[in-house]
Amino acid sequence: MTIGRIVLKSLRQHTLSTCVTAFSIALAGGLLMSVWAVKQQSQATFTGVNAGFDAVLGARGSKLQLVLNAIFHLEASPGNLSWSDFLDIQRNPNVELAVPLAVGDNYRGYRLVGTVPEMFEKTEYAPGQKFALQPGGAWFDPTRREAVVGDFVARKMRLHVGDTFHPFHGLIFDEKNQHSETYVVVGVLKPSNTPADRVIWIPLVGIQRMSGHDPKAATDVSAVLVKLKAHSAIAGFQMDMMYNKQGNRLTFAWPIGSVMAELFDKIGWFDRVLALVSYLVASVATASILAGIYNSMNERRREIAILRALGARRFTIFSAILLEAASISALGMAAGFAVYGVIVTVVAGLMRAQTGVVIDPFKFNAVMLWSPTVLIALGALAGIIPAVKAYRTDVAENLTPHS
Amino acid sequence: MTLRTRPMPLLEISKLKKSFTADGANHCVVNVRTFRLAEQAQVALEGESGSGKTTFLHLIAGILRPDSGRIAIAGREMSALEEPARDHLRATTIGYIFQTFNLLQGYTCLENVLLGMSFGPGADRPFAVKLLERVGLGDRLKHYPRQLSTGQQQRVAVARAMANKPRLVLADEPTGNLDHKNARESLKLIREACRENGAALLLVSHDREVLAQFDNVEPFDRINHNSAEEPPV
Amino acid sequence: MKPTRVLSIALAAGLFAGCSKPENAAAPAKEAVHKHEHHPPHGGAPVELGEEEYHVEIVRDASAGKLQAFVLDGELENFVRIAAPALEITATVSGHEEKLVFLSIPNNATGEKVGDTSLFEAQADWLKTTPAFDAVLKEITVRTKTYTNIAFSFPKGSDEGGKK
Repeated sequence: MTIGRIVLKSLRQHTLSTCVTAFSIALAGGLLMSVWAVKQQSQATFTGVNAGFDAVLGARGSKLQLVLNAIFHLEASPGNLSWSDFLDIQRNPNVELAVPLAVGDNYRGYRLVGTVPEMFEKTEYAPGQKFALQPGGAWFDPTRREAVVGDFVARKMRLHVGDTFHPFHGLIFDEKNQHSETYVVVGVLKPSNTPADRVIWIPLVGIQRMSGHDPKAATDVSAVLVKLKAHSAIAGFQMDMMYNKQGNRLTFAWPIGSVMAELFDKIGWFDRVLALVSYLVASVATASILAGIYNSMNERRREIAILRALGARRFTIFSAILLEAASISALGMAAGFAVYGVIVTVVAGLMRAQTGVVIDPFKFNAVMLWSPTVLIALGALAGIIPAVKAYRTDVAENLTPHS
Repeated sequence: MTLRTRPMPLLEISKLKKSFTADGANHCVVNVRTFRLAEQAQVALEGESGSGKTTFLHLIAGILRPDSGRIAIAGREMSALEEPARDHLRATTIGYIFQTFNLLQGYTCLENVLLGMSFGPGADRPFAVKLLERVGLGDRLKHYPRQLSTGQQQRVAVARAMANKPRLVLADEPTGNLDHKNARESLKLIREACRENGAALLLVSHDREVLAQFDNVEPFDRINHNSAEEPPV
Repeated sequence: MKPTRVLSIALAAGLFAGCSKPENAAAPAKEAVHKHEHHPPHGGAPVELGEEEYHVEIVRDASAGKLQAFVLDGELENFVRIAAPALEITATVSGHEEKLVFLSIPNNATGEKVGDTSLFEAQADWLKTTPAFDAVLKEITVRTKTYTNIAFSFPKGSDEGGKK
């Protein structure tokens, strides 16, 4: 009959309060781990996603909007650039690759992005990773009404090579805005775990010359993705200064990662609030461990006195209570991992559906080590006061009525 | 000529005093000049409620520390020991049977008996089972105290008291909560168990029927010279 | 009382530990601008106009034999467009004077046109081989203010600028 056995018995004898308290620890721990892990992963992922480019050139406006539109395929574009603007930057000696994009249409809510074949031929969306097609597909012919579909869209819309579809006008799906043009799917991308999976890629001229679009803007583009030459260390800085400070016509969003990092800075308060909420929940849960065990000390006086009369030392009793408190916390944390799993799975799913960005919910994060440690330690700490009370139990007084 | 040495008593008490303070006055509850109990002896102390018998047993068990005096068990000075050592001595040497059994309600019969040995010699499951079989509860190992009759609960308490193979068993009004039939059987069981395990028995009671079973009955107030209220020191 | 006190301390400690966790934001590649130190954005020579009301930054491209003049604000942060089609600078090189005419440079990328530009350029062969010289900017009007005879040395720049 070890201390462990005594603790187990005690936990079972107070099942309801054990479960309730453990549940609140589970919530605190699960929430804390989720906030931390999701924030870190999403920040790392979002600031790391750049589709293989260094900068985005677009109409005058917010850098963030430009990046969200051109890289993450979210938001409306801040405006159009002329074809000559695209040619100008393409000719810039510091630019290795400039890829134009045009948006403005969708297929049942999934964005159509017009571009040129260089987007797939010359780009590495991540170091060493090029876009690839699933077996049986081909890249679109830039002169034909052909489409390459991102993996996520293909699965959701059940699009396969050979299928045809009509695009719809605008970025938001409206049945009434169907275009007359018919596109045929010639390829489906292999999953890249980037926003490219969430869109349908068609030739640039397809968007530019879609029926109903302004013919005067037939050569305009929504944005230009820019890759700078490797040796031009300060080129980005100088181009940033020229377009953004010297100029007032266009916006040069560079570097892409920093633009996203600034977004996370701006919303940093939100995850601090969430973290604070989880600290509060943890505090309340810890306090409820203290209260629960402390309040049970009165009814346990006799039990403690009996154990002492059987030869248990004061320190043994003290340790048993501490261990009981820590055990409740540990049980809670075990369940907390389940809570974490649920939260991050849901969040990851939402993130993927909304942005195409994939985070790995079960990737190891240091918070998975320190948050259980801290919460279990807090639980043990909460057990100190009741443990002291148990330590001080007067054996003679709490044994049977005297004869 | 052979020298005959007297065997050392198992329990030896001299000039034992214990007082409690209440309402500003000091109450001397125990004042025992001398008391001895031989190995394997079975002695009953007769005394009414409030005579200090329980305090006396608590002092012997090391649950309370005396104000002055000496208690030696099997040659070891219980009174001179610090609390953890007293606890250990109690766990390894003394079995205690309480009037109200004092079984732990959240533990099964077997677990209650295992508790009786866990803090001393250590858990010995087969021995615990054997003890329960000896007291006639071999088929109730997994029962909880609330599922037993009072007589059965007392038998579990007896088994528990024997669990650490004690040299001395202290029984405080062990039949106080039992009816006549159970009381007789319980007392018989206690005495037999002590005899079988080689333990001495010191039992306190005010029940004449119980006392009548003992050859050796000592009126407690003959050994305990506690006075009426003394002024505070 | 005791449990409440312990609880309050634990809660406060936890909040402080959480709140004081430093934010690990990726710092964007911005130049550090100190309050009273202004750095020319192209690393050129800053020429002060008035009491640091405006600046002209002079940048030399030795291989092309070219000098660029950017018109900037008092903090050397924002570009200021002026209406002048050209600027004139007289440089002293090895004892004799050399006149440089900086023409207004239109730029489609920035939207600048002649008569609405912040960049002026001048070309001369001697610029290829002369890394340092003294010069005077004859006249420049920025918004409603006109500055004349602004002396400076290249590449150091100037401490004070003339004002009409």
